[in-house]
Amino acid sequence: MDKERARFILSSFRPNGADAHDADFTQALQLALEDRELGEWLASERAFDSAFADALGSIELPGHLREDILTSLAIERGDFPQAEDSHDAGMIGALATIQPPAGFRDQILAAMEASAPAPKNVIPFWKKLGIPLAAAAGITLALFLTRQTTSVTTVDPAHFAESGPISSSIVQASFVKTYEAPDFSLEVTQQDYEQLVSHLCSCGLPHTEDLPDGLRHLQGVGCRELIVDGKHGSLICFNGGPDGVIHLVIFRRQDIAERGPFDKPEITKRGEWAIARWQDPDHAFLLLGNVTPEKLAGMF
Amino acid sequence: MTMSEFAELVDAHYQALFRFGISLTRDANLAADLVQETFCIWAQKGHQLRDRTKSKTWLFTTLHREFLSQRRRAAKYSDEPVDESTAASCDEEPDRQMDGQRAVELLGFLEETYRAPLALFYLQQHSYKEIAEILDLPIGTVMSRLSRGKEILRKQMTAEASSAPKNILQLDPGAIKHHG
Repeated sequence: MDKERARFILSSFRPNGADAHDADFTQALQLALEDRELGEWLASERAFDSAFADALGSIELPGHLREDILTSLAIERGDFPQAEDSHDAGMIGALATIQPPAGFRDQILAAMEASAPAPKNVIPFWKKLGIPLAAAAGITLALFLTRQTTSVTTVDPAHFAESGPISSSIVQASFVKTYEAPDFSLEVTQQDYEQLVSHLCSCGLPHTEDLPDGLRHLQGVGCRELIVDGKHGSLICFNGGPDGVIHLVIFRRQDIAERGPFDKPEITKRGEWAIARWQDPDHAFLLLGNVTPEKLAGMF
Repeated sequence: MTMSEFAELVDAHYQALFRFGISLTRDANLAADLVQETFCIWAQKGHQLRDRTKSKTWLFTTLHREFLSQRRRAAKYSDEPVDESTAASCDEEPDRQMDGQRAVELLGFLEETYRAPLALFYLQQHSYKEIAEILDLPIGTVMSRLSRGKEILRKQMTAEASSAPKNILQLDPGAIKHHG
Protein backbone atom coordinates (compact mmCIF):
# COMPACT_ATOMS: atom_id res chain seq x y z
CA MET A 1 0.00 0.00 0.00
CA ASP A 2 1.40 3.40 -0.90
CA LYS A 3 0.84 6.64 0.99
CA GLU A 4 -1.78 7.99 -1.39
CA ARG A 5 -3.83 4.84 -1.05
CA ALA A 6 -3.47 5.01 2.74
CA ARG A 7 -4.63 8.65 2.73
CA PHE A 8 -7.63 7.72 0.64
CA ILE A 9 -8.61 4.94 3.06
CA LEU A 10 -7.94 6.98 6.18
CA SER A 11 -10.18 9.76 4.91
CA SER A 12 -13.05 7.46 5.93
CA PHE A 13 -11.64 6.87 9.42
CA ARG A 14 -13.97 8.48 11.94
CA PRO A 15 -12.33 10.99 14.26
CA ASN A 16 -13.88 9.49 17.40
CA GLY A 17 -11.94 6.29 16.81
CA ALA A 18 -15.06 4.19 16.25
CA ASP A 19 -13.31 2.47 13.34
CA ALA A 20 -10.16 1.64 15.30
CA HIS A 21 -10.96 -2.06 15.33
CA ASP A 22 -12.09 -2.22 11.72
CA ALA A 23 -9.67 -4.47 9.88
CA ASP A 24 -10.09 -2.39 6.72
CA PHE A 25 -8.06 0.39 8.32
CA THR A 26 -5.38 -1.72 9.98
CA GLN A 27 -2.83 -1.63 7.19
CA ALA A 28 -3.26 2.09 6.52
CA LEU A 29 -3.00 2.90 10.24
CA GLN A 30 0.13 0.80 10.50
CA LEU A 31 1.66 2.69 7.63
CA ALA A 32 0.78 5.99 9.33
CA LEU A 33 2.65 4.78 12.41
CA GLU A 34 5.73 4.00 10.36
CA ASP A 35 5.71 6.96 8.00
CA ARG A 36 6.21 10.32 9.70
CA GLU A 37 4.68 12.40 6.91
CA LEU A 38 1.61 10.20 6.72
CA GLY A 39 1.36 10.19 10.51
CA GLU A 40 1.39 13.98 10.63
CA TRP A 41 -1.16 14.16 7.88
CA LEU A 42 -3.42 11.75 9.81
CA ALA A 43 -3.07 13.76 13.01
CA SER A 44 -3.99 16.94 11.15
CA GLU A 45 -6.87 15.21 9.39
CA ARG A 46 -8.26 13.84 12.64
CA ALA A 47 -7.98 17.22 14.35
CA PHE A 48 -9.86 18.85 11.48
CA ASP A 49 -12.48 16.10 11.40
CA SER A 50 -12.86 16.14 15.14
CA ALA A 51 -13.36 19.91 15.20
CA PHE A 52 -15.90 19.74 12.40
CA ALA A 53 -17.75 16.86 14.08
CA ASP A 54 -17.84 18.80 17.36
CA ALA A 55 -19.19 21.83 15.53
CA LEU A 56 -21.91 19.79 13.84
CA GLY A 57 -22.75 18.10 17.12
CA SER A 58 -23.23 21.46 18.79
CA ILE A 59 -26.26 22.34 16.67
CA GLU A 60 -29.10 23.03 19.05
CA LEU A 61 -32.36 21.25 18.50
CA PRO A 62 -35.78 22.91 18.40
CA GLY A 63 -37.13 22.85 21.96
CA HIS A 64 -40.22 20.77 21.30
CA LEU A 65 -38.95 18.50 18.55
CA ARG A 66 -38.92 15.39 20.72
CA GLU A 67 -42.40 16.04 22.11
CA ASP A 68 -43.73 16.84 18.65
CA ILE A 69 -42.36 13.57 17.27
CA LEU A 70 -43.83 11.53 20.12
CA THR A 71 -47.18 13.24 19.82
CA SER A 72 -47.23 12.61 16.06
CA LEU A 73 -46.33 8.98 16.65
CA ALA A 74 -49.09 8.60 19.22
CA ILE A 75 -51.60 10.07 16.80
CA GLU A 76 -50.21 7.94 13.97
CA ARG A 77 -50.68 4.84 16.11
CA GLY A 78 -54.17 5.90 17.13
CA ASP A 79 -53.26 5.82 20.81
CA PHE A 80 -55.80 8.51 21.37
CA PRO A 81 -58.48 9.59 18.94
CA GLN A 82 -58.29 12.95 17.31
CA ALA A 83 -60.69 15.36 18.91
CA GLU A 84 -63.32 16.77 16.66
CA ASP A 85 -64.86 20.17 17.08
CA SER A 86 -68.62 20.55 16.85
CA HIS A 87 -68.39 21.05 13.09
CA ASP A 88 -66.44 17.81 12.71
CA ALA A 89 -68.89 15.97 14.94
CA GLY A 90 -71.77 17.25 12.81
CA MET A 91 -70.11 16.13 9.60
CA ILE A 92 -69.31 12.72 11.06
CA GLY A 93 -72.91 12.30 12.15
CA ALA A 94 -74.21 13.42 8.77
CA LEU A 95 -71.89 11.13 6.84
CA ALA A 96 -72.81 8.20 9.07
CA THR A 97 -76.42 8.51 7.96
CA ILE A 98 -75.54 7.97 4.29
CA GLN A 99 -76.52 4.46 3.26
CA PRO A 100 -74.99 2.66 0.28
CA PRO A 101 -77.45 1.38 -2.35
CA ALA A 102 -79.26 -1.82 -1.48
CA GLY A 103 -77.31 -4.87 -2.57
CA PHE A 104 -74.12 -2.85 -3.09
CA ARG A 105 -72.05 -5.11 -0.85
CA ASP A 106 -73.21 -8.23 -2.69
CA GLN A 107 -72.41 -6.61 -6.03
CA ILE A 108 -68.87 -5.84 -4.88
CA LEU A 109 -68.33 -9.35 -3.57
CA ALA A 110 -69.65 -10.86 -6.80
CA ALA A 111 -67.39 -8.61 -8.88
CA MET A 112 -64.38 -9.52 -6.75
CA GLU A 113 -65.15 -13.19 -7.03
CA ALA A 114 -65.41 -12.93 -10.81
CA SER A 115 -62.15 -10.97 -11.05
CA ALA A 116 -60.11 -13.05 -8.65
CA PRO A 117 -57.54 -15.45 -10.12
CA ALA A 118 -57.87 -19.16 -9.48
CA PRO A 119 -57.11 -19.92 -5.84
CA LYS A 120 -53.53 -20.87 -5.01
CA ASN A 121 -51.94 -22.10 -1.84
CA VAL A 122 -50.34 -18.73 -1.20
CA ILE A 123 -52.43 -15.87 0.12
CA PRO A 124 -53.20 -13.42 -2.70
CA PHE A 125 -51.79 -9.93 -2.39
CA TRP A 126 -55.18 -8.27 -2.11
CA LYS A 127 -56.07 -10.54 0.76
CA LYS A 128 -52.82 -9.72 2.50
CA LEU A 129 -53.63 -6.10 2.02
CA GLY A 130 -57.19 -6.70 3.12
CA ILE A 131 -56.27 -8.12 6.51
CA PRO A 132 -54.57 -4.97 7.83
CA LEU A 133 -57.18 -2.85 6.12
CA ALA A 134 -59.94 -4.83 7.75
CA ALA A 135 -58.15 -4.60 11.07
CA ALA A 136 -57.73 -0.85 10.66
CA ALA A 137 -61.38 -0.51 9.70
CA GLY A 138 -62.34 -2.60 12.71
CA ILE A 139 -60.25 -0.48 15.04
CA THR A 140 -61.69 2.69 13.55
CA LEU A 141 -65.22 1.35 13.93
CA ALA A 142 -64.52 0.24 17.48
CA LEU A 143 -63.12 3.66 18.35
CA PHE A 144 -66.12 5.33 16.78
CA LEU A 145 -68.57 3.12 18.64
CA THR A 146 -66.65 3.56 21.88
CA ARG A 147 -66.90 7.29 21.52
CA GLN A 148 -70.66 7.01 21.13
CA THR A 149 -71.19 4.96 24.25
CA THR A 150 -68.41 5.88 26.67
CA SER A 151 -68.21 9.17 28.42
CA VAL A 152 -65.41 8.59 30.89
CA THR A 153 -62.34 7.14 29.20
CA THR A 154 -61.10 7.64 25.68
CA VAL A 155 -58.24 5.16 25.84
CA ASP A 156 -58.65 1.48 26.56
CA PRO A 157 -56.42 0.76 29.56
CA ALA A 158 -56.20 -2.95 28.88
CA HIS A 159 -54.66 -2.27 25.50
CA PHE A 160 -51.60 -0.76 27.08
CA ALA A 161 -51.53 -2.60 30.35
CA GLU A 162 -47.98 -3.82 29.92
CA SER A 163 -46.36 -0.73 28.46
CA GLY A 164 -43.51 1.13 30.19
CA PRO A 165 -43.37 4.72 31.43
CA ILE A 166 -44.95 7.30 29.20
CA SER A 167 -43.80 10.69 28.08
CA SER A 168 -45.39 13.72 29.72
CA SER A 169 -46.00 15.07 26.22
CA ILE A 170 -48.23 12.05 25.56
CA VAL A 171 -50.10 12.73 28.80
CA GLN A 172 -50.48 16.34 27.78
CA ALA A 173 -51.72 15.50 24.28
CA SER A 174 -54.05 12.86 25.64
CA PHE A 175 -55.52 15.30 28.15
CA VAL A 176 -56.15 17.87 25.42
CA LYS A 177 -57.82 15.31 23.16
CA THR A 178 -59.94 14.01 26.02
CA TYR A 179 -60.92 17.47 27.26
CA GLU A 180 -61.75 18.77 23.81
CA ALA A 181 -63.83 15.73 22.86
CA PRO A 182 -67.54 16.53 22.57
CA ASP A 183 -68.43 13.88 25.16
CA PHE A 184 -66.00 15.07 27.84
CA SER A 185 -67.39 14.80 31.36
CA LEU A 186 -66.30 14.72 34.99
CA GLU A 187 -66.98 11.84 37.36
CA VAL A 188 -67.54 14.16 40.31
CA THR A 189 -68.48 17.85 40.30
CA GLN A 190 -67.60 19.47 43.58
CA GLN A 191 -66.17 22.81 44.69
CA ASP A 192 -64.47 21.45 47.79
CA TYR A 193 -60.97 20.26 46.94
CA GLU A 194 -60.83 17.95 49.96
CA GLN A 195 -63.88 16.09 48.74
CA LEU A 196 -62.38 15.77 45.29
CA VAL A 197 -59.24 14.32 46.85
CA SER A 198 -61.38 11.99 48.91
CA HIS A 199 -63.04 10.67 45.75
CA LEU A 200 -59.72 10.17 43.96
CA CYS A 201 -58.33 8.46 47.06
CA SER A 202 -61.27 6.06 47.21
CA CYS A 203 -60.65 5.19 43.54
CA GLY A 204 -56.98 4.52 44.22
CA LEU A 205 -55.95 7.38 41.94
CA PRO A 206 -52.97 9.70 42.49
CA HIS A 207 -53.69 12.90 44.41
CA THR A 208 -51.90 15.55 46.44
CA GLU A 209 -52.49 17.82 49.39
CA ASP A 210 -49.60 20.01 48.32
CA LEU A 211 -51.15 22.34 45.78
CA PRO A 212 -49.35 25.30 44.21
CA ASP A 213 -50.20 28.50 46.07
CA GLY A 214 -52.26 29.91 43.23
CA LEU A 215 -54.52 26.84 43.15
CA ARG A 216 -55.26 26.84 46.88
CA HIS A 217 -57.48 29.89 46.48
CA LEU A 218 -59.46 28.52 43.55
CA GLN A 219 -62.71 26.63 43.87
CA GLY A 220 -62.84 23.13 42.48
CA VAL A 221 -65.02 22.24 39.51
CA GLY A 222 -64.68 18.48 39.52
CA CYS A 223 -62.43 15.53 38.87
CA ARG A 224 -62.14 12.33 36.92
CA GLU A 225 -59.80 9.52 36.03
CA LEU A 226 -57.49 10.00 33.06
CA ILE A 227 -56.07 6.84 31.51
CA VAL A 228 -53.14 7.17 29.13
CA ASP A 229 -51.25 4.23 27.67
CA GLY A 230 -52.58 2.00 30.45
CA LYS A 231 -51.46 4.39 33.19
CA HIS A 232 -54.11 5.70 35.58
CA GLY A 233 -53.96 9.37 36.50
CA SER A 234 -56.22 12.04 37.92
CA LEU A 235 -57.61 15.18 36.38
CA ILE A 236 -58.79 17.90 38.76
CA CYS A 237 -60.42 21.02 37.33
CA PHE A 238 -60.43 24.40 39.08
CA ASN A 239 -62.49 27.47 38.41
CA GLY A 240 -59.97 30.09 37.36
CA GLY A 241 -62.62 32.84 37.08
CA PRO A 242 -61.95 35.07 34.08
CA ASP A 243 -59.04 32.82 33.12
CA GLY A 244 -61.38 29.88 32.57
CA VAL A 245 -60.82 26.40 33.90
CA ILE A 246 -57.38 25.41 35.15
CA HIS A 247 -56.58 21.69 34.95
CA LEU A 248 -54.29 19.74 37.21
CA VAL A 249 -53.21 16.34 35.90
CA ILE A 250 -51.49 13.98 38.33
CA PHE A 251 -49.78 10.70 37.54
CA ARG A 252 -47.58 8.48 39.64
CA ARG A 253 -44.00 9.44 39.08
CA GLN A 254 -42.89 5.97 38.07
CA ASP A 255 -45.41 6.02 35.23
CA ILE A 256 -43.76 9.03 33.61
CA ALA A 257 -40.55 8.67 31.62
CA GLU A 258 -38.99 12.05 32.38
CA ARG A 259 -37.37 12.94 35.69
CA GLY A 260 -37.98 16.38 37.15
CA PRO A 261 -38.07 19.28 37.30
CA PHE A 262 -38.41 19.14 41.07
CA ASP A 263 -37.62 22.60 42.40
CA LYS A 264 -39.32 24.83 39.89
CA PRO A 265 -41.96 24.02 37.26
CA GLU A 266 -41.03 24.06 33.60
CA ILE A 267 -43.52 26.28 31.82
CA THR A 268 -44.19 26.05 28.10
CA LYS A 269 -46.80 27.13 25.61
CA ARG A 270 -48.31 24.64 23.14
CA GLY A 271 -50.97 26.09 20.89
CA GLU A 272 -53.57 27.72 23.10
CA TRP A 273 -52.40 25.87 26.19
CA ALA A 274 -49.92 27.09 28.76
CA ILE A 275 -48.45 24.09 30.56
CA ALA A 276 -46.49 23.80 33.79
CA ARG A 277 -44.71 20.52 34.44
CA TRP A 278 -43.08 19.44 37.69
CA GLN A 279 -42.65 16.44 39.97
CA ASP A 280 -42.37 15.54 43.65
CA PRO A 281 -40.91 12.27 44.93
CA ASP A 282 -44.16 10.40 44.28
CA HIS A 283 -46.04 12.29 41.59
CA ALA A 284 -45.70 13.94 38.21
CA PHE A 285 -47.87 17.01 37.69
CA LEU A 286 -49.12 18.96 34.71
CA LEU A 287 -51.02 22.20 35.17
CA LEU A 288 -52.76 23.40 32.02
CA GLY A 289 -54.86 26.41 31.17
CA ASN A 290 -55.87 28.58 28.23
CA VAL A 291 -53.86 31.41 29.77
CA THR A 292 -50.53 33.06 29.18
CA PRO A 293 -47.43 31.26 30.45
CA GLU A 294 -46.83 34.26 32.75
CA LYS A 295 -50.27 33.84 34.28
CA LEU A 296 -49.64 30.15 34.88
CA ALA A 297 -46.21 30.90 36.33
CA GLY A 298 -47.92 33.29 38.78
CA MET A 299 -49.66 30.30 40.38
CA PHE A 300 -46.42 29.02 41.86
CA MET B 1 -44.17 -1.71 19.70
CA THR B 2 -45.35 0.16 22.79
CA MET B 3 -45.24 3.92 23.07
CA SER B 4 -42.34 3.70 25.48
CA GLU B 5 -40.39 1.61 22.96
CA PHE B 6 -41.14 4.27 20.39
CA ALA B 7 -39.91 6.90 22.83
CA GLU B 8 -36.68 4.92 23.28
CA LEU B 9 -36.16 4.78 19.53
CA VAL B 10 -36.87 8.50 19.20
CA ASP B 11 -34.53 9.37 22.06
CA ALA B 12 -31.75 7.29 20.56
CA HIS B 13 -31.82 8.87 17.11
CA TYR B 14 -33.79 12.08 16.75
CA GLN B 15 -30.91 14.42 17.52
CA ALA B 16 -28.54 12.90 14.98
CA LEU B 17 -31.36 12.70 12.46
CA PHE B 18 -32.12 16.38 12.96
CA ARG B 19 -28.46 17.29 12.46
CA PHE B 20 -28.33 15.19 9.33
CA GLY B 21 -31.54 16.85 8.15
CA ILE B 22 -30.25 20.35 8.77
CA SER B 23 -27.00 19.49 7.00
CA LEU B 24 -29.02 18.53 3.95
CA THR B 25 -31.58 21.33 4.00
CA ARG B 26 -29.83 24.12 5.94
CA ASP B 27 -33.23 24.93 7.39
CA ALA B 28 -34.23 24.01 10.95
CA ASN B 29 -37.95 23.82 10.17
CA LEU B 30 -37.46 21.63 7.12
CA ALA B 31 -35.09 19.42 9.11
CA ALA B 32 -37.63 19.07 11.94
CA ASP B 33 -40.33 18.18 9.40
CA LEU B 34 -38.07 15.58 7.83
CA VAL B 35 -37.35 13.97 11.20
CA GLN B 36 -41.01 13.93 12.13
CA GLU B 37 -41.95 12.47 8.75
CA THR B 38 -39.26 9.81 9.13
CA PHE B 39 -40.64 8.61 12.46
CA CYS B 40 -44.19 8.66 11.11
CA ILE B 41 -43.06 6.40 8.27
CA TRP B 42 -41.47 4.19 10.90
CA ALA B 43 -44.80 4.04 12.75
CA GLN B 44 -46.45 2.88 9.53
CA LYS B 45 -43.78 0.59 8.13
CA GLY B 46 -41.17 -0.03 10.79
CA HIS B 47 -42.74 -3.35 11.77
CA GLN B 48 -41.68 -4.67 8.37
CA LEU B 49 -38.05 -4.39 9.41
CA ARG B 50 -37.18 -7.83 10.73
CA ASP B 51 -33.67 -7.02 11.92
CA ARG B 52 -34.19 -4.38 14.60
CA THR B 53 -30.45 -3.74 14.82
CA LYS B 54 -30.85 -2.07 11.44
CA SER B 55 -33.35 0.49 12.70
CA LYS B 56 -30.77 3.29 12.87
CA THR B 57 -29.67 2.72 9.27
CA TRP B 58 -33.32 2.42 8.26
CA LEU B 59 -34.17 5.78 9.82
CA PHE B 60 -31.26 7.61 8.16
CA THR B 61 -32.02 5.96 4.82
CA THR B 62 -35.66 6.96 5.09
CA LEU B 63 -34.83 10.55 6.00
CA HIS B 64 -32.46 10.83 3.05
CA ARG B 65 -35.04 9.35 0.68
CA GLU B 66 -37.70 11.71 1.99
CA PHE B 67 -35.33 14.62 1.46
CA LEU B 68 -34.66 13.57 -2.13
CA SER B 69 -38.34 12.96 -2.72
CA GLN B 70 -39.25 16.42 -1.41
CA ARG B 71 -36.56 17.97 -3.57
CA ARG B 72 -37.92 16.21 -6.62
CA ARG B 73 -41.46 17.36 -5.85
CA ALA B 74 -40.24 20.92 -5.30
CA ALA B 75 -38.38 20.84 -8.61
CA LYS B 76 -41.40 19.43 -10.43
CA TYR B 77 -43.67 22.28 -9.37
CA SER B 78 -41.09 25.01 -9.74
CA ASP B 79 -40.38 26.94 -12.91
CA GLU B 80 -36.80 27.43 -11.82
CA PRO B 81 -34.35 24.58 -12.19
CA VAL B 82 -33.18 23.30 -8.81
CA ASP B 83 -29.61 24.21 -8.09
CA GLU B 84 -28.30 21.25 -6.17
CA SER B 85 -25.93 23.32 -4.13
CA THR B 86 -28.13 26.23 -3.18
CA ALA B 87 -31.77 25.15 -3.39
CA ALA B 88 -32.17 24.70 0.35
CA SER B 89 -33.17 27.81 2.22
CA CYS B 90 -30.75 29.50 4.56
CA ASP B 91 -33.23 30.31 7.28
CA GLU B 92 -30.91 29.91 10.23
CA GLU B 93 -32.12 30.40 13.75
CA PRO B 94 -30.45 33.33 15.44
CA ASP B 95 -29.97 31.47 18.72
CA ARG B 96 -28.14 28.51 17.20
CA GLN B 97 -24.52 28.32 18.23
CA MET B 98 -22.13 29.77 15.71
CA ASP B 99 -20.05 26.61 15.50
CA GLY B 100 -22.87 24.39 14.36
CA GLN B 101 -24.29 27.08 12.13
CA ARG B 102 -20.97 27.56 10.42
CA ALA B 103 -20.49 23.82 9.97
CA VAL B 104 -23.87 23.63 8.26
CA GLU B 105 -22.99 26.62 6.09
CA LEU B 106 -19.73 25.00 5.05
CA LEU B 107 -21.48 21.75 4.21
CA GLY B 108 -23.93 23.83 2.22
CA PHE B 109 -21.12 24.98 -0.05
CA LEU B 110 -20.65 21.42 -1.18
CA GLU B 111 -22.56 19.80 -3.97
CA GLU B 112 -25.18 17.45 -2.64
CA THR B 113 -23.24 14.40 -3.77
CA TYR B 114 -20.58 15.31 -1.19
CA ARG B 115 -22.83 16.92 1.42
CA ALA B 116 -24.82 13.84 2.47
CA PRO B 117 -21.87 11.45 2.94
CA LEU B 118 -19.80 14.10 4.71
CA ALA B 119 -22.67 15.03 7.05
CA LEU B 120 -23.13 11.37 7.96
CA PHE B 121 -19.38 10.97 8.43
CA TYR B 122 -19.14 13.97 10.75
CA LEU B 123 -22.11 12.79 12.79
CA GLN B 124 -19.80 9.82 13.53
CA GLN B 125 -22.68 7.43 14.00
CA HIS B 126 -22.01 5.36 10.90
CA SER B 127 -19.04 3.64 9.35
CA TYR B 128 -18.33 4.35 5.70
CA LYS B 129 -19.93 1.00 4.87
CA GLU B 130 -23.13 2.00 6.65
CA ILE B 131 -23.05 5.37 4.89
CA ALA B 132 -22.87 3.49 1.60
CA GLU B 133 -25.92 1.48 2.65
CA ILE B 134 -27.87 4.56 3.73
CA LEU B 135 -27.13 6.45 0.53
CA ASP B 136 -27.38 3.36 -1.64
CA LEU B 137 -23.94 3.91 -3.09
CA PRO B 138 -20.96 1.61 -3.71
CA ILE B 139 -18.48 1.65 -0.83
CA GLY B 140 -15.69 2.93 -3.05
CA THR B 141 -17.84 5.85 -4.17
CA VAL B 142 -18.49 6.84 -0.56
CA MET B 143 -14.77 6.71 0.27
CA SER B 144 -14.01 8.78 -2.79
CA ARG B 145 -16.67 11.35 -1.93
CA LEU B 146 -15.46 11.62 1.65
CA SER B 147 -11.91 12.19 0.51
CA ARG B 148 -12.84 14.64 -2.22
CA GLY B 149 -15.51 16.37 -0.12
CA LYS B 150 -13.07 17.09 2.69
CA GLU B 151 -10.61 18.48 0.18
CA ILE B 152 -13.25 20.86 -1.19
CA LEU B 153 -14.21 21.82 2.35
CA ARG B 154 -10.63 22.71 3.23
CA LYS B 155 -10.23 24.72 0.04
CA GLN B 156 -13.43 26.61 0.78
CA MET B 157 -12.25 27.44 4.27
CA THR B 158 -8.84 28.49 3.02
CA ALA B 159 -10.44 30.72 0.39
CA GLU B 160 -12.69 32.31 3.01
CA ALA B 161 -9.79 32.77 5.38
CA SER B 162 -7.84 34.69 2.80
CA SER B 163 -10.77 36.85 1.65
CA ALA B 164 -12.64 37.55 4.90
CA PRO B 165 -10.57 36.60 7.92
CA LYS B 166 -13.12 37.81 10.44
CA ASN B 167 -15.82 35.49 9.20
CA ILE B 168 -14.04 32.19 9.25
CA LEU B 169 -14.84 29.51 11.70
CA GLN B 170 -11.77 28.67 13.71
CA LEU B 171 -11.90 24.94 13.46
CA ASP B 172 -9.39 24.56 16.19
CA PRO B 173 -10.50 21.61 18.32
CA GLY B 174 -9.55 23.32 21.55
CA ALA B 175 -11.51 26.43 20.69
CA ILE B 176 -14.63 24.50 19.75
CA LYS B 177 -14.69 22.39 22.87
CA HIS B 178 -15.32 25.56 24.88
CA HIS B 179 -18.76 25.77 23.27
CA GLY B 180 -19.44 22.07 23.99
